[in-house]
Amino acid sequence: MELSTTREDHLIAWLTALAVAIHLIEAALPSPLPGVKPGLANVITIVVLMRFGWRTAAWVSLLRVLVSGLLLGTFLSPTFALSLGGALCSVAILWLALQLGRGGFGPVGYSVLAALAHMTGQFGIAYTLFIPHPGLLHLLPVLLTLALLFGTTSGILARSMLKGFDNA
Amino acid sequence: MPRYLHYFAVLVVAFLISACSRPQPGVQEQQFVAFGTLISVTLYAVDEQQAQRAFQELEAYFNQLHHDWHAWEPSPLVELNQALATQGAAEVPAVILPLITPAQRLSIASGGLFNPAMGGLFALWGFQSDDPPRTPPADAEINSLLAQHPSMADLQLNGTTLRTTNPAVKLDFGAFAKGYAAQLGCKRLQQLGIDNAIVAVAGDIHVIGNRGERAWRVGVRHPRTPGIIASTELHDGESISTSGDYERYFDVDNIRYHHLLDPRTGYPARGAISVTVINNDGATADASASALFIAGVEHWAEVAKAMGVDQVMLIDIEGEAHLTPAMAARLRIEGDPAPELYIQELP
Amino acid sequence: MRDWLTKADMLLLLFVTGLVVWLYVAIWGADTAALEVEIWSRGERVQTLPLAEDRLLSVAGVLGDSHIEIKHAEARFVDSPCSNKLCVLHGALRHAGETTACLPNQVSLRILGRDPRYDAINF
Repeated sequence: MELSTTREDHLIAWLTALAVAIHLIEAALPSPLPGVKPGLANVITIVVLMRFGWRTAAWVSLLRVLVSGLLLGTFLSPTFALSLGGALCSVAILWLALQLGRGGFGPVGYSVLAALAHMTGQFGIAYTLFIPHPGLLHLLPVLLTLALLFGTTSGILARSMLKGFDNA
Repeated sequence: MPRYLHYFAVLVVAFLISACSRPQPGVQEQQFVAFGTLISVTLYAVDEQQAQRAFQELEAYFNQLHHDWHAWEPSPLVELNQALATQGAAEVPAVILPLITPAQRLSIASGGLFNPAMGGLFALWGFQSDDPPRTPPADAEINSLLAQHPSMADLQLNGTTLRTTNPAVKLDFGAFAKGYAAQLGCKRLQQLGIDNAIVAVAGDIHVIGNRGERAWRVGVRHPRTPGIIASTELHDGESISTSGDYERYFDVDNIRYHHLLDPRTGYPARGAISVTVINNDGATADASASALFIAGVEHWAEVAKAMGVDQVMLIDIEGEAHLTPAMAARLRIEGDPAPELYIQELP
Repeated sequence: MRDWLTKADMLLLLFVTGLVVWLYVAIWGADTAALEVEIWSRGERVQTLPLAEDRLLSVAGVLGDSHIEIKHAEARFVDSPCSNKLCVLHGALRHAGETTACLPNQVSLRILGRDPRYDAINF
């Protein structure tokens, strides 16, 4: 038996691979604050969301976390839990934004929402599961500020990529 | 523009969610002086009127306990001691009766390090008096008292009659009364229909219930520098007690004479600077904190085992912390600089 | 501009920036601005003062006046008519829930805050 694959399946595979590559490169880079990464893989999620819709974006996002976890050897470790929690939160907020936004948001809007949700989700998991110290709460606004900046940047990058597809 | 109404709705919902998660007050606090120390009581989820009634009730209750158990001012305990010294036997007043058996059990388990029969020694040093001492008592006085070996094993309780074979026995429950009282205070609050409270009688704290969505948080004072050395969360029915050489002391020629007296030498114990114990029984926590302080860094683990306590932190004279695994698992070290930590299994 | 950001994006950015600023105020501001020092004497609450305002004050106790200093968002005993001066040695209080007392004079200080770091101090 042969599994029939569509053109879209191939595209999803390629985009997931690209997202995983970005994820791995970021994981290798040193970070001033533990857990703080620019989240450039978010660019891919947003591009897929705008092009192929939420279902595909959710697949790419979750596959990215799973595959990166397996490749980095962090599968089912705390790092993986943080990654997965963040991804689930951002996928959920994107669904909500699509439902309530009725297509009013552009790539930057989706990207900012996804980045903030990702950070909040990670923070929530870190706080409840690993270090429930009230002092940690002081980091939250700082982390969200960074998420806001990175989210905007990723959104602009995603828009450029989409533009590139249109021109190609 | 109906589309933007939707964004607006999202924003409002988001704002409401964040606003609701702000902590609600619902906390009532009171401080008062009793037992010769500062007592602080915090209640959660109680209306103000009920809280005020409870505070008044509790203050009166603690003053009553303080009077009943007072070891040198005219009190039921002083009368009991006089009767024991002169007749060798006495009827125990109802307010003192519940103290005798636990005091005896804890004293024997501690190998006599917690020794409430040594009231004579405590009186000699006079740390508990309103006019604190400035010099140690004479060696001869201490030695003649130690030679008589007053011990809780000299006492036999039969119904409500207490007999002693040793006229030197003089009861003083100072080393565990505060821990016991903190727990009794919580019991009294429960009778008043209050289920969430923390009662702190200086170094002895007992909690019931919680503080809303979180547990009660307690900081342990650093024995040397200002501030906190560690903190932990206490759950329903738990007690924490700390005994330290900084509570009552005087210095002579750079030697610190503090109130934690070693019943074997008659002098302040030298093996530690503070001991913290968590246990479900307030009297046990308080008595064992004193006894383990006296046991010192060499022998505390054996005495802890014998007294049935497994959550202990001892700070030795170098400022290093020795913890049982159960204590290490729940304590958050906050001291700055952080002390060296040694985890020690009980034998 | 219109090409890069939709109207909804702009509204969202504005709102999210506002939310983050509010979070800074709510979480960081609570530490100093919202903290207060409660002063008790002889079992009565005598004064509640903001920790952010520097001042020196005397509070009458059983033996006489205790002198208390509030400075740089910290409160401490500078002098008290007791013999061992444990209250002065205890040093400055700055976190919600911290407490210290001059027992002989029956004067105590406690830092109040919305979510105290400690509900009680084991001393």
